[in-house]
Amino acid sequence: MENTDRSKQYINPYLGGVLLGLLLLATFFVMGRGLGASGAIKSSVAATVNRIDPEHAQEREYIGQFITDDQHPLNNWLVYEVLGVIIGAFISGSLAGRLNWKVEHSPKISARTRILFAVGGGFLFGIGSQLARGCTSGAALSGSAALGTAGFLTMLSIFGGAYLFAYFFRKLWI
Amino acid sequence: MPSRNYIISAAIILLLAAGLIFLPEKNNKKELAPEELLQELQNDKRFVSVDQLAVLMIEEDPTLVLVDVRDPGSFVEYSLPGAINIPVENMLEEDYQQYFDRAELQIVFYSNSHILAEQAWMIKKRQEVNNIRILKGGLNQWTKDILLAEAPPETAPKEAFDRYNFLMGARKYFVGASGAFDPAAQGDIVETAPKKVPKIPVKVKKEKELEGCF
Amino acid sequence: MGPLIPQGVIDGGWSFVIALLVGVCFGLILEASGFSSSRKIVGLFYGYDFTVLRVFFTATITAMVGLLYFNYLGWIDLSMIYFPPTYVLAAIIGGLIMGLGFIMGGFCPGTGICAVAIGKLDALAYVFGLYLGIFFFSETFSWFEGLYTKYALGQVRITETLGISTGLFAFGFVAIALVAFVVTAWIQRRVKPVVY
Repeated sequence: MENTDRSKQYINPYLGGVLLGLLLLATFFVMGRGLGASGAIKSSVAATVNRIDPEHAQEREYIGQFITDDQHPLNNWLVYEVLGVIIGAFISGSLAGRLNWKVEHSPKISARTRILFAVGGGFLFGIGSQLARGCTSGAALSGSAALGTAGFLTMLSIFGGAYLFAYFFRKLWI
Repeated sequence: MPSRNYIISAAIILLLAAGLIFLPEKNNKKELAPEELLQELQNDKRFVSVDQLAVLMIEEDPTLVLVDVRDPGSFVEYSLPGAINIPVENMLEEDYQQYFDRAELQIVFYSNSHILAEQAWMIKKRQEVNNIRILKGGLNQWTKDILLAEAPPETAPKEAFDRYNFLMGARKYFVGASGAFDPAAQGDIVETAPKKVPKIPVKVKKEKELEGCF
Repeated sequence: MGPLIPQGVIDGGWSFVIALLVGVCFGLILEASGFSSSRKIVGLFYGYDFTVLRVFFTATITAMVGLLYFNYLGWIDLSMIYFPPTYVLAAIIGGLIMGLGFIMGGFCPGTGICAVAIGKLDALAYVFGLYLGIFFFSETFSWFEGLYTKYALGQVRITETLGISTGLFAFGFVAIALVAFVVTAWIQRRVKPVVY
């Protein structure tokens, strides 16, 4: 019982926000760019396509631009950063006793439904992040902290879009 | 419900942000560092020769923008066909900015020699406009090569004749069928009114955007 | 002085080590804030848990205000900080698609990866979906191409777009964030809590 209680213990969100903000500031200070996530997945898509069919990868106008002869697509800043995210999240999760295999879903839906919608949601997020040149961390968080217009536009439309569609998917969550 | 700690934290960030209002706006315009400018000045890539320019003009390259950087008086008196006039002293005016925002254009600056053009180029280079070249030797060289080209001596190598033929062709193109340069007929090649730059569909360059999270 | 790597203060070879360290901190913060739970994240859209808004807005204002002070003090050259160029239509449509994906999948890419790290299988499915989505975008890029490059404004800052001073904008943004914190706390007290 004590264990389940502990797994619900998250840090104060404002403290988390300040820490995240300071990390972002430090990243700007050292690297001259912000945080990111979907870029790493894009790199791994590029790497996979390139591995399976290099000619096809070169032909593809979009993914082809990320494949160069001198560098492996996975040899990329964001890929290392995302590897770090996995390590960091694992450490935090294990310290708080949150490590276990499970499908988190509302009692009103089955695990199967949850998985299907997760794949669909990921699919759409994948398309959107490529179109908007960044996801919540790269475009919205880092972009708006650096005062980029695109960052604010993307931030407003991601959250605005989610609120807009929230009603139709309420069964999934509450 | 909001405890004192929250109110204090909120006050701190709000005060810090309020402090920003009173800070002077820092000039963060892009500028080329002096070291880089020096390096740029040491290579000849910024020049375009009379021959190269003539080819571009004869081919009617739609991305070519000729800019006469001399004063308007000299411009009206004599200039190159299709040129626009942006005197050096007006180089930073907003009205002309449209020509320098488009990386796909090939801008050529010229003056009588290349000194004035070079000054204008330096100003623009400081603003990191990288698609400007200077007509080597300026209008003097243009007149000398295109309008007053003389046949090379019989003993000259074949290349010299090829070039002479090219220049004669260019002269015909710029001056008229007679091929002879008549100072009185100069009017034909004078562009009296500044022309608008032809509208070229802007093709957005595919940059390699590896940064950011996308 | 800064940014250190673009200015050559630190050798670029270090960037991968730094990336890993930054990533570890990023993952720690996201997971410790509760971003490894999709039901906690989407609470934002149903009013029962505003953690995402709190973390996200606090991080943005902290980094923004910090960046502007660093710039003023000459510790960082703001013009060397990379941010994505603005393509109005792509940003809005892409954002809306992401919003739909967000409410369906319950994660954004960063939080999804965090959740995979602690064993959430729905997050694994989500990341698989992301992978497919990006592959799909690449394969059908010609469909999106017009949209992708329409209304390009280049590397513009919000202050240039709105035509107000940087300090005033930052102050306004911080004020909006603080009001949002108060309002959402008020809403959360009135919404039936969801046990997850």
